[in-house]
Amino acid sequence: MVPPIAFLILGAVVFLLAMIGFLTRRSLVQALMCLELMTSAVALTFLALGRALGDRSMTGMVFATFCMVISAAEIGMGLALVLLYFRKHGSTSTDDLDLMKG
Amino acid sequence: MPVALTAALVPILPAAAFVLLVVFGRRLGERSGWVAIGALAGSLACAVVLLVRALSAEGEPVVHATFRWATIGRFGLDFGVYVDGLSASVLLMVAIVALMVFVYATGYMHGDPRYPWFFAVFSLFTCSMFALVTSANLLQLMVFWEVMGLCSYLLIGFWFEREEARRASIKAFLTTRVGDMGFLLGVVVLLARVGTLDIPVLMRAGETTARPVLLIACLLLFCGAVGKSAQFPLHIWLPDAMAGPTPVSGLLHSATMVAAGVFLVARMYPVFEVSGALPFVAGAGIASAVFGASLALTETDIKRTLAYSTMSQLGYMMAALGMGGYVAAVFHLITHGFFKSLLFLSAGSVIHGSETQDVREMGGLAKTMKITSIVYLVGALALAGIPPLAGFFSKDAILVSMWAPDAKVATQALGHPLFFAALATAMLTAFYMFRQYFMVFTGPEQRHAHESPRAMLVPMVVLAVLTSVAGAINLPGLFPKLGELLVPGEVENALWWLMLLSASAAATGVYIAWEQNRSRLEGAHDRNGTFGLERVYGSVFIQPVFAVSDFLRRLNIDDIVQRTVLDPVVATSDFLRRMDIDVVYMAVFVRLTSALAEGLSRVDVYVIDGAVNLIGRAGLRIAAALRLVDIRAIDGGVNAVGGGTAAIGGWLKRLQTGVVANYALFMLLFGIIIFYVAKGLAR
Repeated sequence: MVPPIAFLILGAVVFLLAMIGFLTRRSLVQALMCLELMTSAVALTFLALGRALGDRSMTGMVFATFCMVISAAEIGMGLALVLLYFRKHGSTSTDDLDLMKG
Repeated sequence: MPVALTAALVPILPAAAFVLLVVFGRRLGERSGWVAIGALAGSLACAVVLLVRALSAEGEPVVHATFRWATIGRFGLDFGVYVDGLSASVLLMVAIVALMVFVYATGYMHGDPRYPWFFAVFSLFTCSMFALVTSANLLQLMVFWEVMGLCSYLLIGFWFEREEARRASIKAFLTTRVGDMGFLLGVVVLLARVGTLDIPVLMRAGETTARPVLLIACLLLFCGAVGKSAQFPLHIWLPDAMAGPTPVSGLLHSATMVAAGVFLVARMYPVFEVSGALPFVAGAGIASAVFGASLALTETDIKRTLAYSTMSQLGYMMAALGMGGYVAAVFHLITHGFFKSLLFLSAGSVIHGSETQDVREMGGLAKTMKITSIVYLVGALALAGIPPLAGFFSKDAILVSMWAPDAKVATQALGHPLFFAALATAMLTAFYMFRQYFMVFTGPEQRHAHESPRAMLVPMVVLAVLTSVAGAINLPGLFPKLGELLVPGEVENALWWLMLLSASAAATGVYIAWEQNRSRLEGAHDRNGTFGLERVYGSVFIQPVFAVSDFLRRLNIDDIVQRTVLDPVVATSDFLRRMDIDVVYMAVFVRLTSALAEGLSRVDVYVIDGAVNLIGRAGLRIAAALRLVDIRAIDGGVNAVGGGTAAIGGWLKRLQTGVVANYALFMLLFGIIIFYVAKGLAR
C-alpha cells in the first residue's frame, strides 16, 4: 500500500508547480488551468489526510467533492469572464490586464 | 465468447468508434461513416445473440455481471450489464434502427464539413443508449441518460450556424434538465431508503420498503421520464428539436432517446406497480396522447407534425404502462421505433428532394419520388394503425390493456375513459398522417423534386419491410412471442371486436383526410389545410373556454363594487342633504369655532411671536461666533487629513501594478504571514 505521506508530497508538489505556473504564465486561460490544478492538489491532500486519519465520517471525501464542485463553478465563471474580456479587449494576456494600475 | 462479454461489447463497440472518430476523424473524412457503421454492425450481431439467449431463458435474466466501480463508506457502486427479455428486445430494435439511420446518414450528410464529428457524436449516442438499456445499476442508467442528453444537445445544434438550431438545442437540454432533477432526487430517495441502486434488487424493493416512500421515488423518477419522453407538460422541446439534421430526428427523437423515458418506467415496472404511481403515469400519458395529436392537427411543417405524433405515441405507451399493459407498451415501443424512424427518414428524403419543409408547398411528389412515397405510405399506414402493419397490432394491444386493465393497478372505471380518449386519438392520428400524405404526394406538382440517393433509399426500404412484418412478433392469441419473452406464463386475450373497432377508427380518419383532400383539390381555395374536423374539435374544446371567460366578463368586478360600496354611500349622502342638515351645522359648529379662533389669534400675536423673535436674534449672534471656529479650526483639520491621505496614496499606488501575478504574489506572502501569525497565536 502506498503510504499517505506520498500522497501529501504529491499534493504539495502539484500545488507548488501550479502556483509557480500561476505566477509566471501570461495567458489568462493558462492561469485558470493552474488554478484548477491547485484545487485538485488540495482535494488530493484532503483525500490523503482523510485516509491517513482513518476517517469514518468521510470528511476528507466530502471536502474533495466540494473542491470538485467549487472548481467546476469557478471554471464556468472564469472562462465566461475570459471570453467577455477577450471580446472587449481582443487579448487574454495578463500583461494587458492592467486597468487596475494605480 | 462468454455472454457477459457479448453484452458488454454492445456499448463498447460504438464507444471505440467514437474515440477513433474523435482522434482520426479529420484524416478519415467521409470514410468515418463506415467506421461507425462497422462498429454498429458488430453491436447488432451481439444484440441478436443476446435476444436468442433471452428467448430460451424463460424469464430469467440472460446476463447479470457487475464490477465494483467505487466504494463510498458502506455504499458500494456496482456498474455492469443486466440483460433480460425487456433489454434484449429493446436492444435489438435500437441496434437495427440505429444501423439503418447510420447508413441513411452517409447519404444525407454527404458533403457536410463536419461529417466525421457527426458520426462521432452519433456513435457516442448509440453507445450510451445501448449502455442505458443494459444497465445493471440505476445510477449507471442515469449517467448514460445524461450522456444521451448531451448528445441530443450536440446533434440538435449540429448546424450551430443557425440561430434556430442553437436555441432549440439549449431549449431541449434545459427542458429535459427540469425532469432530470426529479430523476436525480428519485435516485437519492431510493438510495436512502432502499439502500441500493442495483436494478434487480430494486425491482424487489416492494417487499421491503414502505409504499409511500416508493410512491415518492417513482413519481420523481417519472419526472425524468416525462422530460426525456417529451410528455405533457415538458413536451415543448421536441418540436423545436427538429432543427437538427433529419437523421438525428429519425434516431434520437423518434425511436430511441425519447423512448428511454418509457423504457425507464418499464425497467422499474415492478416498483411502479406496488408504489401506486401508475395512475399518474396513465394520466400524463393519455394527456400527452390527446394533446400531441391535437397539436399535430395544426402543424404544417412535415417534421414538426411527426414530432407531435411522437409525443402522442409515447403518451400511448405511458398510458398503457399506467393501465398495466406492460407487454403492450413495450410492443408499441418496438414497432413505433421502426415506423416512426421510417417516417422521419422518408420525411428527410422529401425535404432533401423538394428543399422545403412546409407541406403546403409540396404536392404531387409521388411522380418524382416513387420509392419515398411508397415507404412513406407504409409508415403512415402503420402509424394510423391499419392492419396488417406493425402499428395496428401494437396499438390494438394498448387499447386492449385500457379496456381490460390489470386489476392489480387500475380499475375499469379509469380504463374506459382512457380507452375512448385513445380511440379518438387513433382517429385523429390517422387523419393528420393521411392529410399530410395526400398533401405531399398527391395532387398537382408544385415544385421540381428529385429522388434521393441509394444510400438513403435502402435503409428506408429495409425499415418499411420491418414495419410491415414487425407486428408478427406478438400476434395476440396466435403467436404472443414478445409477451412470453417479457412476462412468461401470462396469456393475453385477443378481443376481436376491439380490433375491428380500432381498425375502423383508423379507416375513418384516413377517409376524412381523403375527403378533405378531394375538396381541397376541387375547391383549391382552402390551401391551409384547415378542415371541418378541426372546427368540430374547436367547438368541443375552445367554445367552453370562451363561455367561461364570457361569464367572467359579465360578472364585471366594477359592477359588484358599484352595487355594494358606492351605491350605499351615495344614498346616505343624499339622505343627509334632504335633512337640510347644513343649517344645524352652521348654528352649532361654525359660530362656536370662529369665536374660539378669534381668541387664539390674539394669544398668538402677542405671546408666541414675541418669544420666537427673541430666540431668533440670540441664534444669529451665536452663529456668527461659531463661523469663526469653523473656518479656522475644522476646515484646516480636514484639509490637513486630505493632503496627508493624498500623499500616502501617491506613495502606496505604486503597489497597484495592475499585473495579476503581482497580486497573486501578495496573496501568497500575506497568506504565509497570516499562517505564522495564526500559528503563533494558537500556541
